[in-house]
Amino acid sequence: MRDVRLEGIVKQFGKVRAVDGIDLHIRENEFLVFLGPSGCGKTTTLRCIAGLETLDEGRILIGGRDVTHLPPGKRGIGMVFQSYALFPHMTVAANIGFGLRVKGVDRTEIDRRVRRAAELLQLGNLLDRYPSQLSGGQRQRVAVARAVVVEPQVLLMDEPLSNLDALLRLSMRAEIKRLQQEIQATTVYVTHDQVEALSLGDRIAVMSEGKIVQLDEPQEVYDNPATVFVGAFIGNPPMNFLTGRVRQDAGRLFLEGEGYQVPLSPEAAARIQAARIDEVTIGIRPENIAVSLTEPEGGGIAASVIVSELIGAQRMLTLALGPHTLKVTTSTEFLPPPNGQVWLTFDPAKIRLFDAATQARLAQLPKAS
Amino acid sequence: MPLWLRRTAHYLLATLLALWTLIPIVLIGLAALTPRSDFFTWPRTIIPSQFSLESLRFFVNSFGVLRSTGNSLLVALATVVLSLLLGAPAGYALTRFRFRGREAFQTGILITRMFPTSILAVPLAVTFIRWRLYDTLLGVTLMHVTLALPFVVMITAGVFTRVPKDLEEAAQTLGCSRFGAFFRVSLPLILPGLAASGILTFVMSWNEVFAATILTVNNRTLPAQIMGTLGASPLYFKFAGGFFMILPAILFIVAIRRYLINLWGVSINK
Repeated sequence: MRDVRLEGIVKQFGKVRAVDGIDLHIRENEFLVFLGPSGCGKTTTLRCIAGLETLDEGRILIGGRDVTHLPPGKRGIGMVFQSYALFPHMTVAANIGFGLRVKGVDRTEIDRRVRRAAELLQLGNLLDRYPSQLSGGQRQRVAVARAVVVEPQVLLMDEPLSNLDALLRLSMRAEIKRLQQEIQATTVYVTHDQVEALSLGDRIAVMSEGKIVQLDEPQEVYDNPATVFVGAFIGNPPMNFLTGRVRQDAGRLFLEGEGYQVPLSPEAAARIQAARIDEVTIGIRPENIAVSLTEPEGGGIAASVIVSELIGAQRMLTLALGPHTLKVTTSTEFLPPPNGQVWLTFDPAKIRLFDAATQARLAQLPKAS
Repeated sequence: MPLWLRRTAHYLLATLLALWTLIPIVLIGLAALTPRSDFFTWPRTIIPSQFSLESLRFFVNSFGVLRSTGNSLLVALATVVLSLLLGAPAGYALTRFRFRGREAFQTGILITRMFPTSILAVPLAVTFIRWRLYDTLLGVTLMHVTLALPFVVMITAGVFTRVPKDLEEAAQTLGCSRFGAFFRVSLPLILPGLAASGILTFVMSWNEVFAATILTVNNRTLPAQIMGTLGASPLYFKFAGGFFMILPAILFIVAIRRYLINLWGVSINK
């Protein structure tokens, strides 16, 4: 087994709890992404797994073996650093073979494995170069080759793409995905880029202030954020949020806030009632709001257009709804009227409900039998 | 200012600076290679009528010179080894670890250089006599190490800053111990810097005259020896001694010039 188990790990720097009690089981061959803003503790968590930080509490098991007190070199890990950390006084071949030399593998075997790793990452003709003679993308590939050549049980990657330009990042992202499927290594990947997380991860662990706030498959993280924070962090543009009170009007339920009222489904109303709260925050993704120039049948929500931007395949509207600002994406053909008045319809199935006080998603009701 | 003018001014200044240091060295060198008899002819010529090693031979063979040269070499080498052994780890600690009193330590190092040796001379001599270090090479070495340490610590700290922590951590994840990572990755990268501070220390110890004069009577280093005899020596003897003193320092610096350039971030060949 090549799984990783974090059991209640805590890492403090002075009074700051950078990692604040994380329990996590990373499955064999899984690609797990730690996602969060800078300072959320994701890199520290990775460094704890690597053994570059010592834990204040908890234990770490790799492949069922307690590695909490083992040095990095004895944990069966390979790590790719954000800065690549290539050894400047060694050639590409010497860099890739470094781990094997340290472990005392014999020279012909080192040569064979270095060549294979170089081939896997298309570095075959660069083996005699020095890191200073390589481009950013090539350095990145050398760093990956150096980490995988030792055949680690777990591959750790700390923002490996953040130093590359946008185009290169796109192609390297695909390459990392391909590589991971090819070598079948359990991979832990740290990033602050939500697109990277959504596209690479089998599961995403969203972190905030040293804790995991949501651990789910990418689609689930995107569709059903566990908290307002997750919804706001993932998606570009992010989820829209409106906070208000529930009101009954002519047999129908509305969420009423300053300058708007949004109709709620009976199911949503039941969940709010079950949670026994007064204030509710609803979240809705920009693509789940329909915009029309005339008031739709059954009522719409009036809003005015502040900015209309073409963002390639879509048009993004920034709208004012009372004192609130909403982002909505529409087709590129939609042109806002001169007076800026539009009507919005929220897809009721896509409205997400949060407790305004705790910012946490309201619990699903048990299915009625 | 047009480019050609700026460039001319640049080279003019460089030439002036070079002449400033080179002329005395050349003059001493010429005088040291002048036959003794030339010193008593009139008018004196700068270029000798013929080159001769006579003065130098006389100097080298005079009483105490060879022995004090040996002493000087011994003291200088011991100073280099000791101050690197003590100073390099201190420089490493200063750059790699955040510890209580780090700033104070850094300033404290510099403070040791604030007291002129002349003020410390008498108490130092008394202490050394008490500790039975007076008139020993070990005593002079210890004194030179004290003088050299601040520079060694500062230079090595500067050199270590340029080796990112990531590199050692990467080596650790690839199976090295903390020490292994240092020896396999950091040490090769800082070797030029260590060499440079070693040279600086060597030259400093080789040239140091004050402490060496105060702390020794019979076991003198070369500068102390020359100081002791200079006043009563003839002119050609002084020149020969001066040249003899300069020579090793120059050879040394020429030999390690490549590393100095590397350390100071200037490159001539590129």
